[in-house]
Amino acid sequence: MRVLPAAAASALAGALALLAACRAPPPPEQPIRFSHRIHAGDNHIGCTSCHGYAERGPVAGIPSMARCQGCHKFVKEDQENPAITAEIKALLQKLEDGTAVEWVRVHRVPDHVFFTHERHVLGGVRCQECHGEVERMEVMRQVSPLTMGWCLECHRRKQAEKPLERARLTDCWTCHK
Amino acid sequence: MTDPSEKALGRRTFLRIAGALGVVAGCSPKAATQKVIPFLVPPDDIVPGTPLYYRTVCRECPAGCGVTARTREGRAVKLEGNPEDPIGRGALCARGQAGIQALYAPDRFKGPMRRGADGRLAPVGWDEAEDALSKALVAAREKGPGAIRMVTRPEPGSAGAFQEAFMRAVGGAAEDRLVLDPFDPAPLRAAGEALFSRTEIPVYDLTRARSIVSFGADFLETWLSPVEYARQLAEGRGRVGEDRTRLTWVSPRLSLTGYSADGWLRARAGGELAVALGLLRWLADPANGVPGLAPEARALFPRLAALDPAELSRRAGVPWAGIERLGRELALRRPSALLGPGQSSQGPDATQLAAVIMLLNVALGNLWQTVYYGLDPQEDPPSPFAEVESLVADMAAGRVQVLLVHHADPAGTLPAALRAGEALGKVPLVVSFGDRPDPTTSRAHLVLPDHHALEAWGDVTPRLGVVNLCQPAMTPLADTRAAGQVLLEVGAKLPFPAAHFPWPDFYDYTQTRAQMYAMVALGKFPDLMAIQRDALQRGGYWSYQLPARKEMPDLLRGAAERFLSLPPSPPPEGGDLDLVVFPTVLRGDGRGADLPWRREVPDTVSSLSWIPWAELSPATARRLGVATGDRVSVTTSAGRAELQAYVYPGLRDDAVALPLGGPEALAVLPPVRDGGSGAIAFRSARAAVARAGRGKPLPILEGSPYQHGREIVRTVSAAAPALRRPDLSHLMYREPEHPTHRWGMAIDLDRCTGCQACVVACFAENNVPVMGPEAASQGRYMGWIRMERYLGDEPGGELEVNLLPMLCQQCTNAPCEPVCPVYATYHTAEGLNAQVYNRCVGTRYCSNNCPYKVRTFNWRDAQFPKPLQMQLNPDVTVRSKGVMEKCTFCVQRIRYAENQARDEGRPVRDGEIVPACAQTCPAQAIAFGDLHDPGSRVSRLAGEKRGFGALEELNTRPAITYLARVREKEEP
Repeated sequence: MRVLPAAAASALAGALALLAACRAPPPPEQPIRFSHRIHAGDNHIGCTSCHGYAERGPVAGIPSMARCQGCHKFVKEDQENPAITAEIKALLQKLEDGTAVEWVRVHRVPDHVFFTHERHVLGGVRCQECHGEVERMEVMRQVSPLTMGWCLECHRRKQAEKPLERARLTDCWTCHK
Repeated sequence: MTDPSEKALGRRTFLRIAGALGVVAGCSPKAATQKVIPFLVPPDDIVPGTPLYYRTVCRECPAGCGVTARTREGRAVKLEGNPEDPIGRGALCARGQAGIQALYAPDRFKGPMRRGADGRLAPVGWDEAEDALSKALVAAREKGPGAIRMVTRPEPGSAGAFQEAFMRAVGGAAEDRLVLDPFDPAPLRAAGEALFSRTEIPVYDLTRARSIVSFGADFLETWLSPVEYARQLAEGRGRVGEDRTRLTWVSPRLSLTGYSADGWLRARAGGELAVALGLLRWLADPANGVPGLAPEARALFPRLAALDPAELSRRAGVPWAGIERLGRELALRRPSALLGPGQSSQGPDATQLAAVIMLLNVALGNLWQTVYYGLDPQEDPPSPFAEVESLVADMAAGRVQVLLVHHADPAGTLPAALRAGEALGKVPLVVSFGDRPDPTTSRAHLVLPDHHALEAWGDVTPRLGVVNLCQPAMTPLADTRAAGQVLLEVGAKLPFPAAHFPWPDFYDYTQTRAQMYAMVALGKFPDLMAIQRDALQRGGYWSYQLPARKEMPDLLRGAAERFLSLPPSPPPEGGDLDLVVFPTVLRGDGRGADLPWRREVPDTVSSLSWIPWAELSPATARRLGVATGDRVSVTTSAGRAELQAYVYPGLRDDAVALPLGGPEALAVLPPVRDGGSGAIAFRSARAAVARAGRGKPLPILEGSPYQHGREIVRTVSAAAPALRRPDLSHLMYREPEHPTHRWGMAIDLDRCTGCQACVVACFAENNVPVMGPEAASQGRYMGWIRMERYLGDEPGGELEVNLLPMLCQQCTNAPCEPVCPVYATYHTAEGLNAQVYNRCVGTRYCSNNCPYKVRTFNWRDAQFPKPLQMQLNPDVTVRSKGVMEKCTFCVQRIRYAENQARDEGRPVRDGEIVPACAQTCPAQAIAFGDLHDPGSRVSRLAGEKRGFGALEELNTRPAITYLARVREKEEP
């Protein structure tokens, strides 16, 4: 009966691990309840209108406060929805104080991954393929696991379309260096 | 009934549970949160994740090379030369490459400091500090002239001009502002004054010289403008035959510059003058019938004939035949260039040596061919050394009340016999504008830290027609202020109307200067803003050209005669060995020599890092019972230093050699001056050397400095211009294919000078960690490139120095690849041996199987003490403990260029991808490109007859082709 306590402990640990892994991480709480649904969905603002570097560099970029002000100079309240007005007021206060909103980071890849938005966006990958249906999200959350296996799954599929031209899509040094 | 052992938690069970719990902990949703803070207003130029470049200027030595600073998200990460700058033309030396570490040095002053009653520096506000200084200045002025003094490094530009104005405003005389350059080539200036009445430093164009003779002038390391001269020498190299530039090195010690020489005249210390006089005598002798000799030189022969060749040869320490042979070479190979003296040959007769060398140039018609006067801007030249001595005397006598120190280090860079440190202690108020602690600043009462050059405005005029502009590449890291700004603000607080300057801040002052430069360049009052913007983008105002013959000075009548006799030989006292001190490219004059890269990168000659050393020839070491690594004491009339010995066959038996750039060499230099210029005589002392016990294990890179018959580095000559290469046509295994590109490199060993610029550039570009002296003594140096230096085939044999910059050869049949059990190293489709850090588990099989030993292993986590981590290149992974790493051919730069090309919808152009090592090489010895493209530069070079692969008989098929050094046997 020597194996029993060990097996039990392993099973318990395994179950806990499984539970933890299956539960998608909840969306982080942001200092301002910014809604992508209102901006990108209802108002049809394109992704790169705010994330302006996505087509130009590795990082898509978080919009600057000046970018927020560009619209919210005019959009100062939602007459039908006081809850939204309160959020806008919080933003306007920040703009008036000249301080930045300290967003909580949602998407992150490890330091040894050199992901570039530019090549993906210019290559025709839709933002939603990795970030999910952002225009329907009230609160931004991570949809894809952003693991290497997940990246490669797509890279392999795209490579299969043009094996010679896209040989490098599965090369380690494409993303790691 | 249960066995008690079953209840106990066994080791395996424990590990199993612990592992499972670890998994659970890892899955916890409470991951560390990161903040993403947006810009308030985004800067127009910054696209996050992409580089932004600023042109500025290197301030590490007076050469004044232009710099392109690469910044990422608002911080400077790498320095490269400015390709448009006429001095450096895109290259930087090892010291310049390391300059960025001063910006992020952890010990940089964070703001103004004042020494309290407890003797410690404590932070103080700028206003308070400036008040204290202005009050002290008012009080000092009442003490009479000479009470307010300033010591500065040469500042040929706005900073210097403003300092002069400030010193005048506080009632100082011109000599109250002392310009200190410990390596000031004053003898050259004194010789120019005596011969041509031109108090100037000559400028050399070595590209036209067919033969170069250097009398101890290390023009490939620190002398005058080493990056420029290394490039010029290289232009005459890399070919076999008559039109290859020959270099002869005249010195008791074979230095790094000597490694590039074809011949070495082993003159004894101080014998350089006898060699030069002997050469002049031989050339002027009508019996030798040298054609086309300048008539002025022929006229000198009656005086020269009085010199006895036997005596000259005895004083020189070389056979007369050697001098004759060199004379014959110079007579035939015209024009030539004769250079000197350098620090190692700067003795009590340095001005005479400089004058005789210049007379040789005159005699051979080199003036206005390879040697030019009229290009010294004469802006802010170093003060005569007599003024340094009188300042020290005034300080010691208590006549100096306030001393302002601007990036000079009199206590740490001058011979200890001068007692400058002690004299500083007698000054009631020492004010340092230094940004980091050094021996002078540690004696300062008030520290008003200046910006680093990468944070400041300014301009430097290193040469007539070259104004290199200095602009901030980033916002200042700490609460520092431009020294000029501080003087401006202090001036405003002074009760002297002259000190109330009209400029609102120092930037405006630099702009008025810029206006002047623009007007000089354009000859009319221009639209300053537009001109200035262009100049800043370019890096400066340049109207540099070599002067025409008609502007060249004539030899003054009767000026040469007094230099033509041999001074009496000094009495042999103080020891039985000549003391040779020499500068090194990494240590320079000692300022900033403690920056991590400058200490971690081994000296090419000794392959030692971190420590100073004493060189002894094998015979002398045997006589003294000393082996490499032993402690030895070096005693002169001035003092004693204890260092570890390095036994080096490239040194005469009657000498001991110490590197400059630290307190050891300065401790043993006696207070002797050059008679003509008053400059420090670095070469005058005799030293006694004795063994002082066993030393600690040396932080040394080399295993054996000999090739032991392995033919690792190969040479060619005009007689045998092609190399015999092994027949590798019988393939057993299929070789990898490279369907698109095959990245490759060619390294021309005939151009390479071993200056280590590539090594430091690689540290900067690839986040190579600094591991410290202990790791170095265990052979755990992490550099991706190492400068291999072979002294010959076997110990005791013929001394033939060959250099081989060794880096990953990116083999086609790479021995590292098949042995990796986890596929962390593999062959890419473009021929690179990739190392995937996140996959590596650290078996080190790859390194064991690598015949080149170019893989380095992270035995511990690299340390980047804050804020040094801000220099890290964000495009390269920082490796952690337990991971193997090696050269990647700068894959991040390959990817960057490919990305650019793809954005523009074109293939990558040849020459577009430049690895960091190739980029900074002053000699342009490294070429990189696609070996599949027959038109690429690297393909052409790889096909040269001089090409060979390192250890190519192993059939590794390296992607690096070395082009053999050309070695001509000396004509008899």
